[in-house]
Amino acid sequence: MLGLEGGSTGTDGLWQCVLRSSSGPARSLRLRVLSESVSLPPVLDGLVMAVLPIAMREGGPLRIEGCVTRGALRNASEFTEAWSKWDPQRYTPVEVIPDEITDHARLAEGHDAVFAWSGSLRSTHTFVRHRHGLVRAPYRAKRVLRVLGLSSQPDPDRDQVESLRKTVARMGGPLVVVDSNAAVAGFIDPEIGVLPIVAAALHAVGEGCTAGIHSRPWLLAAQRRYPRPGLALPDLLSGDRFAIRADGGTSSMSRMVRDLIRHRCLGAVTSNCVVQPRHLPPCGECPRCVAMALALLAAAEKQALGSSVGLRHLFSISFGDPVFSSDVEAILQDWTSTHTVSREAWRSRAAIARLGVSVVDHLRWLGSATGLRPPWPR
Amino acid sequence: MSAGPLALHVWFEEQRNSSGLIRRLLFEGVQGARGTRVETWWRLEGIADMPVPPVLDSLLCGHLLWAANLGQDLIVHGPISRGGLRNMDDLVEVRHALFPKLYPRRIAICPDEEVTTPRPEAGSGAAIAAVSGGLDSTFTAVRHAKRLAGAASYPLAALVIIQGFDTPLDPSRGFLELRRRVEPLATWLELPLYSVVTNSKRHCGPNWAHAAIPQAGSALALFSARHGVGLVSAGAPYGTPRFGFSHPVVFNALCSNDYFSLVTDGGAFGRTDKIEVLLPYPNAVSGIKVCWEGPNPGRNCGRCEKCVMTRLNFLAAGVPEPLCFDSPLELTDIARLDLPSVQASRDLFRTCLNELEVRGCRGSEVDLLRHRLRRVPPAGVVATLLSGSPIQGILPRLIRKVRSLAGAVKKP
Repeated sequence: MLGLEGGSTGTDGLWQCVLRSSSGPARSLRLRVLSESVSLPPVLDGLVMAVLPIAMREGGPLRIEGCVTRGALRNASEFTEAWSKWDPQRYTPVEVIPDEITDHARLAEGHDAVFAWSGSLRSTHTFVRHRHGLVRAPYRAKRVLRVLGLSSQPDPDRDQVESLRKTVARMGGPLVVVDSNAAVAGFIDPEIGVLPIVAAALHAVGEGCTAGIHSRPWLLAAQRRYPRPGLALPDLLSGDRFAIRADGGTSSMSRMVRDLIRHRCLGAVTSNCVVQPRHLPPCGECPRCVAMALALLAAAEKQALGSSVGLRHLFSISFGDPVFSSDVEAILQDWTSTHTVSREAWRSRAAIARLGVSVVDHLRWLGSATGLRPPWPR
Repeated sequence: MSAGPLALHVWFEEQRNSSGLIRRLLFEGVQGARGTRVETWWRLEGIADMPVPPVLDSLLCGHLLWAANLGQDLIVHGPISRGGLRNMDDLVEVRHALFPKLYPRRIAICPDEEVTTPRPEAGSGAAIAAVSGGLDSTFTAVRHAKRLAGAASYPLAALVIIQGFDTPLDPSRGFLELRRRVEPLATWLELPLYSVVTNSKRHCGPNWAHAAIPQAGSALALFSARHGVGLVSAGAPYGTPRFGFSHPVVFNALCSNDYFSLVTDGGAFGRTDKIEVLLPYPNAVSGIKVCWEGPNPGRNCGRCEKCVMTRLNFLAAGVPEPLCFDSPLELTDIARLDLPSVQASRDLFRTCLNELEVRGCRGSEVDLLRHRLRRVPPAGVVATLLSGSPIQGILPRLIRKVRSLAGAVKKP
């Protein structure tokens, strides 16, 4: 049995909850809204979503001291059932039992939204494509959200935040920063990732908005080789009062680079690096940096959105990561620059990787067909 | 975003006659073999009064993939909600990105009127569910009508059965038999059962699996003035390996709009899980009708792929002879299964085997299913590579030889 007690504390922008467990110590999640005065939500939908991964791991019902919307309750059930179906050893479905359920909440009128922005290419593109009408019926960017405290890496200091704020303001959206203790307090599940915490922060700053928008972390096409619930789930971190919506997942990185080229100011604040914090220059060597450099090459864009890609990367980078390999495949299909030698070299490398996957697939099947291994595909 | 010169023009109209309401979408400017003007109609049998929804979003949504396949933009002469427009654009975008050969263009949708509809208050809208008599839809209907999901249940107020999808438009006899089979479920759940007859499947696009849920959403949205939520049932559960790209829940959600929500239910349950939930309700189990290949739409043939799969699901749930089948499962039924590759129904049978194994089921049926699944080639690549080559003919013999050698190696 888990108990969640939460809410806001007056006007200091602190939205927090305490998760009490019968089997362990209480844990406290704090989300502090910096830099703008917003009214925190009257329902606990966001905080409930934030603690679901822990609740799933610990098992048992989750009793909420407070009010949630009926939609959030339904979504929370579905979310936990979906993850438990995928990995029943690790996650169990959670029965959410709130003190009060409201059926009278409704989404705000209009199409204002908060955009979650981590500084990655995808989240930047999501913001820009709505801001500049590259999608039909775009959301209006009322706020742009940066959440701190999501990893053990250092967060941007005050000056760096100020610099980010100026850049985002030039793009037409005020930056709101939410400082969290999610990583330190152990609220980030390694499998599910930071999304529940980001969703909670979106709920926290969603006043006057219909939706909080976050970008899909990888191409939808990668789902075929990466069959986990993440992308397969609809927007289950939503409540009736505020929706959390996934966006993107269809454009190649080179397409995104081309869409962002005219916004030069974003170059300095966009990074896909998984080694360095997003507000620092990228390492240039990790797979995400290499994919970014390849996208720049494919889009014939030499300015600094990342570092360059060299011959050594052809051999040093592993295609085993389905996110990376699907990104590279998409870039190669959407290659518009004249760097044809590089394109052909990477195309050959990708073909070899594909062949490797196919050979392994066939070997496994032969093992299955001969009775030496379990049935394949799984 | 503006429409191209070869755009399709769409109009909506409604008529009443003695048998009920008829609603139509008229498409003009079609670049296809069936002429430049086509119409989709929905007949609401026996319903004289059902307010017209204030937006056309859901009706149009079922035809998006057809238009995307034709590569023609849509000019809609009627109101579309802004949220619906955004979702439809998203749906076309993802389908185009995943299947560029089937949907060569990210078409534009240009309505005369982009409207803001009053958002229904959350929780106030009664739900309506599509039923086909199958396991998934029976589960969804029972789960919500009996409030098995507790406070997360939707207030289910009606059921809809659709003629023109799994059952042909003509002759209607088959559909009546299917309806007769579903009626006891509706009676037991104390819910009205509406019939919708439609030809919309003719304009579903190149892949029915992609369009089935958007089209079911269109049929449910005919009732959206009284039911703000439409429930459709999920097929494969979320965790299915090699996640089938037929109608994943994440895409189905894009058939919602500002006025009407389409919710896919049961994605967290496998087929055997669903049977286990339904077992305490013999009224529900006896009416399950999964067969769509057999000669009688009102009965399960017991021999086709879907029937065999469902019987194995029942076996996993500890019910070797379920009420909804007339004859026992035979080993020859499993032996006859056509399991060509991962693209077909193999994943579902693999899930079926997993469910049998997890529940500790043993027996000749389980052994035979495992044996059959072992021999399914991956993704048909082998066949593609060897197509037309002389080795194709000797491949089965080669595999048998390898198997016998492997058996000889294992024995000592």
